[in-house]
Amino acid sequence: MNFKRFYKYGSPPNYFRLCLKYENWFTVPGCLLIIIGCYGGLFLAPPDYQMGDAFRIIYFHVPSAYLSMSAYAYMALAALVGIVWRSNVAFSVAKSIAPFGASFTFLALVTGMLWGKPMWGTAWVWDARLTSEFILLLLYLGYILLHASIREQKKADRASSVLAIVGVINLPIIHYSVVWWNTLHQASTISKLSSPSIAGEMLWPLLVMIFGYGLFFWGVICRSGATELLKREKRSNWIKEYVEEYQS
Amino acid sequence: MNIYLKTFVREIKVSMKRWSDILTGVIMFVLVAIIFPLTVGSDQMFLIKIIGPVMLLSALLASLISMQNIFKPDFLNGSLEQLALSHHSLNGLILMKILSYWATSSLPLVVVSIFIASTYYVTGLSLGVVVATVLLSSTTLVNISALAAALTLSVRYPGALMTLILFPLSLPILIFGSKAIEYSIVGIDSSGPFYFLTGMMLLSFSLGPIATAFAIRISLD
Amino acid sequence: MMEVLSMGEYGFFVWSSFLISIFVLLINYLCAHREFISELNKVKLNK
Repeated sequence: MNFKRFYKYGSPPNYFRLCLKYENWFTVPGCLLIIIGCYGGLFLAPPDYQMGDAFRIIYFHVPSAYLSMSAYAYMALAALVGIVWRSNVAFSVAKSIAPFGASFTFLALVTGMLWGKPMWGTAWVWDARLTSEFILLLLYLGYILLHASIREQKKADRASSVLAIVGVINLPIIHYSVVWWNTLHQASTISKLSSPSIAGEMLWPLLVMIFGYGLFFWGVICRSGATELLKREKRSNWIKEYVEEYQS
Repeated sequence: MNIYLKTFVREIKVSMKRWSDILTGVIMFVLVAIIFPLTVGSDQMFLIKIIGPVMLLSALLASLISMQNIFKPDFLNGSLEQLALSHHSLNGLILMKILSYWATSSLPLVVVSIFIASTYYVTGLSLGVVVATVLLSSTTLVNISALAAALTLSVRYPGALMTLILFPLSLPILIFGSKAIEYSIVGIDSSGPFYFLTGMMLLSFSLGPIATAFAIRISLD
Repeated sequence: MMEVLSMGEYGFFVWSSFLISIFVLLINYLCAHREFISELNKVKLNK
């Protein structure tokens, strides 16, 4: 397979056009999947034996938690690519992922609190998984604030990328915290190697929601990464050409 | 080999000249540790329970106060740039800087922690465990503070940004250090947390100077 | 209808987590879209 044809997307104009061309291919299916998953989760799935109807929060909590971790992994990967190859495209992707990843982490924490209150009587408990998810939120905020407080853009990019890469150590801690410690948070129901411990008609809305959130996230990042690239390359010629094309 | 020894000795001498900075860190440690018995109440049962977290929290806040002194003075007077431009490995030189910072800022804390812990009614073997925990956790905290200081070198007034970078990365140290002290006071075998702290120390000493040197090169140009 | 709205006495938690999730997703998309339009307008004005 000829991978060389992907190299051209490392240059800003090609990446910009690619993002804007395929953005709707991510957002629209994502929204559709989310709507289908919501309907299946809220109305079609039978209520759980132990938790009753409150388990339906899983359809909002699990996708946003999963996405918060994978968004951080993508941000760290983009940061690494930016540092190693000194690529403006990679840095703008990393910078645009940060606020959205932080919003998904916030969503995971809030839906988790709304789930914990009726189930275990307390909205928050300082166990390993909740604490490490909160640390993830702090790492996102640290990235955003560090980038915002350094004036020169190249320096800001590289310094905050170092922070993103160093923070990757938190991801295995979050993922394996329910395995290593006895936490209040329950163990994972879906694993790659064994069959899931959850019923089929409860499982499919969950998978649909996870895919829907993921596609929607990538759609939003396409748009936001293109904006960031636009901000950085305001003065270059290809922007002027694009604006003329867009206007006509 | 000689250059690294010279750097270490030079850093120690310079820190000795700035002894007021070391004293500020120690005073911060003592003040934070004193606040709890004075404000919450000096009930022995309560104090014995919180000695672990208090020790580590005080160490963290003291390192927060003295964090800027690792690189900022050298950055401002240009000697950090000279270190980066020399043909010696910046990783090794930064490692020596971090070691000397640890020697001058954390070893006094270890000595002071003995006195503070005895005012918290800790006796016997647990006192040794407190000292060992502060010693071990300070090695990792020093590396993380050096990284945070290097990342915020080019920011004029870092302030809370240093806390925001330092805090998430040092949380495992705080948790396991408090557990080690808590287990020894209750009487359980506290070797588990100690293994973790030692592991974190080795990880931070091996990767910390590399990341810190890289961050310094970013801030310098 | 009441049974759907109350979700077996957990209605408040389920529906509020649903609403806040949809709200955050919408805000993300709208903010991204609006920023892109404003940046494009800035470039057009400067030309």
